[in-house]
Amino acid sequence: MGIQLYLRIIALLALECCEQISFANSARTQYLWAWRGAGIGFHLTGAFFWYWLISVVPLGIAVPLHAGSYMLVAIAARLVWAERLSVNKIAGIGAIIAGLILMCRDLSWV
Amino acid sequence: MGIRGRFPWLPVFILVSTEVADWIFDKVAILHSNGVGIEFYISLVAKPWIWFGLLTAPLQLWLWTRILRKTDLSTAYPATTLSYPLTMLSAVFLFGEHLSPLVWIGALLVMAGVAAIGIREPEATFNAGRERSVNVRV
Repeated sequence: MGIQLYLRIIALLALECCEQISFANSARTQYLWAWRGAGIGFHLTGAFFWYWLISVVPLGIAVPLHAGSYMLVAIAARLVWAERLSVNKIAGIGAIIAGLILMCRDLSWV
Repeated sequence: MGIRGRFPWLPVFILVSTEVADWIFDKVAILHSNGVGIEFYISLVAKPWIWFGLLTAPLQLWLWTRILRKTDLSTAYPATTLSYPLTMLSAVFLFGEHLSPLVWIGALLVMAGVAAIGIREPEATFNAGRERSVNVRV
């Protein structure tokens, strides 16, 4: 279960990130509804992973794990729109990574 | 941090509460669902608990825009991360989940990271022909 669990968590976070990027892109390009549709698609696909996640992982762990998507959104914004990564954002990304590693080290919930 | 007026405690409280409730209802729906694979998801969709999130999403959006009218994003954003520890506490008391100290420390780090990402940089202003100055909202 271990590797499969982590892969699904990564997939959930990536889908959440894609959803946010899609909705943000809908405001920046002329293809408003195409990007909104993509965002909704990513959201619905992510929902499948989310409900699977909270069926196998305690809710108290799944929710902070899910917050890891904020880190991916900040990084994606840098890659997609060349948004500046401020010191705050870099520190925030570091804190999230550290927090996720700590939570995953306690494998009693696997 | 900039605060345009009084901090909108009530809208923030309602927003955080609905987020926590949404996650709790998701878990309740999961606990009452059965089956594997597609059967599991079909069983899940039939649970009314799942639809709470759909119903509260417009409320949450309205509350968030209302909060941002009253205060700055750099103040409001960290406040919304309160939903994480509240959900964790709810999971402990409602579902009997056991969360180790490592998990709590990790979650606090994640919260701090999310809050830090949401903090806006100080605004920079230019005085024509003069050096750049930085205004920091207090």
